[in-house]
Amino acid sequence: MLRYIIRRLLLVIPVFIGVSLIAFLIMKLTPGDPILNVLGMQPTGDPSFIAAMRAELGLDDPIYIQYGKFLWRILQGDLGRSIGSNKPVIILVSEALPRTLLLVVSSMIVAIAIGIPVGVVSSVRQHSALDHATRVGSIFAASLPDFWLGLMLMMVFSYYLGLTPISGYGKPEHIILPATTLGIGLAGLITRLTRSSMLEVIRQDYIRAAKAKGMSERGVIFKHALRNALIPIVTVLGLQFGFLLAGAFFVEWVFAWPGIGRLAVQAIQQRDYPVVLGALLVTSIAYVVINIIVDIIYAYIDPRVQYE
Amino acid sequence: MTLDLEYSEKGMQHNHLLEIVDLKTYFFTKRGAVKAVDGISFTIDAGDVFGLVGESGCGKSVTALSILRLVPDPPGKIVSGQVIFEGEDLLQKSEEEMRSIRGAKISMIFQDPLTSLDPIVRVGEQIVEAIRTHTNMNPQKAWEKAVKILTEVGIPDAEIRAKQYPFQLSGGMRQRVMIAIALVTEPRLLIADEPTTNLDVTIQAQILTLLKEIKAKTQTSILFITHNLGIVAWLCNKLAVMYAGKIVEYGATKSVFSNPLHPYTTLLLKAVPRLDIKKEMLESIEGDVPDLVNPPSGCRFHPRCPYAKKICSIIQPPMIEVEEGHYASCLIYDKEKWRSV
Ligand SMILES: Nc1ncnc2c1ncn2[C@@H]1O[C@H](COP(=O)(O)OP(=O)(O)OP(=O)(O)O)[C@@H](O)[C@H]1O
Ligand code: SF4
Ligand SMILES: [Mg+2]
Repeated sequence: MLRYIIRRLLLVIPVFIGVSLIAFLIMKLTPGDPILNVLGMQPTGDPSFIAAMRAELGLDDPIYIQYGKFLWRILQGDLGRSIGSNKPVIILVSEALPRTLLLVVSSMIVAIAIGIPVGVVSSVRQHSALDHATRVGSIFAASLPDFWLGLMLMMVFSYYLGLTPISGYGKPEHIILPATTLGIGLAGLITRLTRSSMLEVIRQDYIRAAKAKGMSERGVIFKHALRNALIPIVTVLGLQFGFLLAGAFFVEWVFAWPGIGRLAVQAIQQRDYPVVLGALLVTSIAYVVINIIVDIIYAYIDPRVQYE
Repeated sequence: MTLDLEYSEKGMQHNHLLEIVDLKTYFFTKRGAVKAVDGISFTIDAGDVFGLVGESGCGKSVTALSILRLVPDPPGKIVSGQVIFEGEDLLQKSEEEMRSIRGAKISMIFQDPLTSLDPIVRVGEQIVEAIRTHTNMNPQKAWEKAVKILTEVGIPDAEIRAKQYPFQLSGGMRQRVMIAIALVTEPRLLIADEPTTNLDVTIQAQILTLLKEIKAKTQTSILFITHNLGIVAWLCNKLAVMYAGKIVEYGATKSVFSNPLHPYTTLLLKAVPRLDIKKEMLESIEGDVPDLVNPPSGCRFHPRCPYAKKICSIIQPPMIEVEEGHYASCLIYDKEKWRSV
């Protein structure tokens, strides 16, 4: 198991090189001058000052040198400084990433807390009115765009009802709307998946065998059906993690949640390369690490999964 | 003394462990009602190993599931009849009362040991669960009991095996685990629904031997469901032959084998199935298995029966006691009607 984890962790290396390279090239190929953007200057500004700044930031070196230097620095844990704020990128990023993870994990909790119970009830009471409502509702929920949903929730709960803060970060209630926005779509997906997975499991022979032991319906559902039904759900949750991270970029923007997504979007607007690269790097590493965690959970639920 | 006598006389009626009376279980599908079990009656006494034989789809499993009231509903429903177990009609019991009988007084092992164990629960745990569903035994003791019964059903290194998952066990071992689960509560009746169908021949023989040992060692009666008359002859003291949702012949194994009454049974016996032949001859009797939504009129076997007369498609043959304790539902034994046409 440990060896498996280590081997999986080694995967971070190619991911890291790939992501840094791609991000780096995209940034370089985008038109626009970072210095001018940052300084808010017209191209008519003091040319010698701009030249000096370019040289200082290494923007005059050939691209591969810039990349090589960049890679070497990050390997030493130095992600450079933000062109905009001059703060070390590693600090900006390590402040922002936990906030994003908090948001993503909260939205997963929302999705699981809604999706699994509703899916289970819906499957156990198949063809009931509740089941039909669930099926329609879950498809609806899964097809709402995050951006639109975020604005609607904000309008209703913050603007009209005044129940939640409009946006921002700091108090526990700040997370309610962004986590809900991000989690609703996944909740719809998890509901449908739980329902279909349960329906599949319920007609297995071992469920009938468990009933033949004299177990109660409840016992059969919790001890046998749900545990087996969770296996595909965990897989999907793992796969969805990437989409949640992507979704967090929008949601953070809408709710002014100072996470990695917001940081990255701001940095892109300002062509703040070091921050963009830093944000992308830690996001992809987080993605790989979370996937390993999902695999471990998976192995815990399904003993048939063998790691060697 | 008089009291005793009265009791035993009454007891004669109640002595059956299980008495099934005119049981009907239908599946209500879009095509119509599938009359999977259509008015069957038989009795099992303490100590019996009762064979229920018939070709695929004739309603054997549905009969077994009806006894435990585990017929999938919808679409299935027990339409009428009685399942009298230890003097009480199970069909009148509440779901909760049924739960205290399932797995405790009546256990069942299923057709497919490969799929009847929960794949992600340790096998020992699945036995413990059977124990603790019906008693308050503490987990530690229950585990020890589970290991003990695994040894008893012939699993070597039971302590290690108990901690393993079904996928780590061979098919034969899994069926032994199923048997252990069924027997650990010392039930009065064990229903074994084709427990050897998906196992290879040597393993099949081992499992059957195990069942025979169980019969000799315990008080448990067995309802043994199979395609294979060879197994019935070897294992069972009584049998019923089922055809298209009905019982067509019923009696002591000896009588049925030495003097088969129903034409269907005769054909089955001609096929002489043997333990080592996987594809039993049962399925090779000419003609189609009847449709249970619109079964043939009169005697359901008439389209395939070599002796069928016109009357067979008109009159439903009743169960006739041809010799003592040996019944058949065939018009040949209703001498008057048979001759009248
Ligand atoms: N859930 C169901 N829905 C509809 N029909 C069913 C259902 N279960 C069983 N049946 C029908 O009931 C009839 C009897 O089935 P049953 O499983 O009892 O057969 P069997 O004698 O056990 O056959 P086999 O030897 O193949 O196990 C079959 O015709 C089958 O199509
Ligand atoms: S009643 Fe007629 S058709 Fe049916 S088994 Fe007897 S002879 Fe054959
Ligand atoms: Mg069957």
